[in-house]
Amino acid sequence: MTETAIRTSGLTADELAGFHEHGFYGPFTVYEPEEMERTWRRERLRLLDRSNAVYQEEAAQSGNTNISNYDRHLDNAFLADHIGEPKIVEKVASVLGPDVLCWRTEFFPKYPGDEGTDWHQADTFANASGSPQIIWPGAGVHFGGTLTVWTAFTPATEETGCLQFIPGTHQTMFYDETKKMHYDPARINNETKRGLRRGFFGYDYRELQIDEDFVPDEDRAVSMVMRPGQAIMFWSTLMHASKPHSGKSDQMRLGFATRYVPSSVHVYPDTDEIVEYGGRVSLERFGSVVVSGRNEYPGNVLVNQTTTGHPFHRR
Amino acid sequence: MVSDIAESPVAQDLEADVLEIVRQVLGLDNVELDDDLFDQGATSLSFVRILARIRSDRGVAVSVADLPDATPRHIAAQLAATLGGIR
Repeated sequence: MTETAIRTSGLTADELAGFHEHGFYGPFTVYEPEEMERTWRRERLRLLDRSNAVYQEEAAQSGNTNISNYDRHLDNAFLADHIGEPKIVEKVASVLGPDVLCWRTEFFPKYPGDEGTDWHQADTFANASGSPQIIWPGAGVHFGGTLTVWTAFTPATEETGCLQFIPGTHQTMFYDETKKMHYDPARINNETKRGLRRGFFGYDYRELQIDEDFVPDEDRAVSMVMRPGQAIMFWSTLMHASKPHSGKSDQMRLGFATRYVPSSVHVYPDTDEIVEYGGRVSLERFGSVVVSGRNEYPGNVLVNQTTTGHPFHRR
Repeated sequence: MVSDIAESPVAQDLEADVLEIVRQVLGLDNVELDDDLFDQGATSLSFVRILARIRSDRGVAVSVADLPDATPRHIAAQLAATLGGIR
């Protein structure tokens, strides 16, 4: 991309106003569909090799827990480039400012017949582990959250279980992450809520509701249908969910989430491990990646290349 | 070369073995040598189980990172090359 093209990948004033009002922007194109399909066919084989992945514990190697899908950008070159892709980072910087960290990436596969994802919001990401994973600086900060960019690596449609948002809900928290959610993998693909098969990877997110009687206003929900290579940017505090994979298509739905915060945010305060979703991994090889500007919180652990020496791009 | 090794009778036996493992792990009797396993519904987890079975049966770890596609034929060819390389 030319320098001009790179700089114009950010949000316009109108787009930024819309983002602040609705809590999301997009879908927008990062890769053309053919390129995404070609890339994913190649990378899905490469990713089977976990020998350079930063989480080597059984919880990660087994593939049975969500943690196995965490932070593969720290070893895979394509994913390392993806988190710094200008078409993404310029938009993120439009919202968060010039100093930005990527602190997490996650795969979200949904196979034919899989349940939908519960409505949820996340602020500190203490929801599953009980320990805050990101803390925004400053007194009087109401809540922070992370800016997530969710890229469809395969088709995300109503049938395959695309994302759903309730626009404008990002400034009010309906969930309290200091409450406790109970993990039970037997729940997965086995529960129905208000007539729809939904769950939260072995948890029930309703356990975190501030008001036990709260019911999300699904009449206001909008579906984010995306072609392979398209992405959506949204606050983690926006009410979001997904429908089940109907099974009408045998194409699995794969989303790849990249999570960004201003670099003044403290990532993984007071913890050296992640314990959630039925797994436990050490953070000893973890580092946040500065994708734009500089790191502003001295306590953040950083990395500037993957475990195989592939450098991360910085805006 | 992998393609030359793939033509040998030994490699053809390996193809049959790999195909049988694939069919058992995926629970699909109709998978064929040139079917892309991901297109047949294989998850990353089931793919890892297939490779673990191959390692258990043959004593070697097959790397699939650079295969042109995820077919039993190419997995078997890589297995043949791996076995041929350690003799």
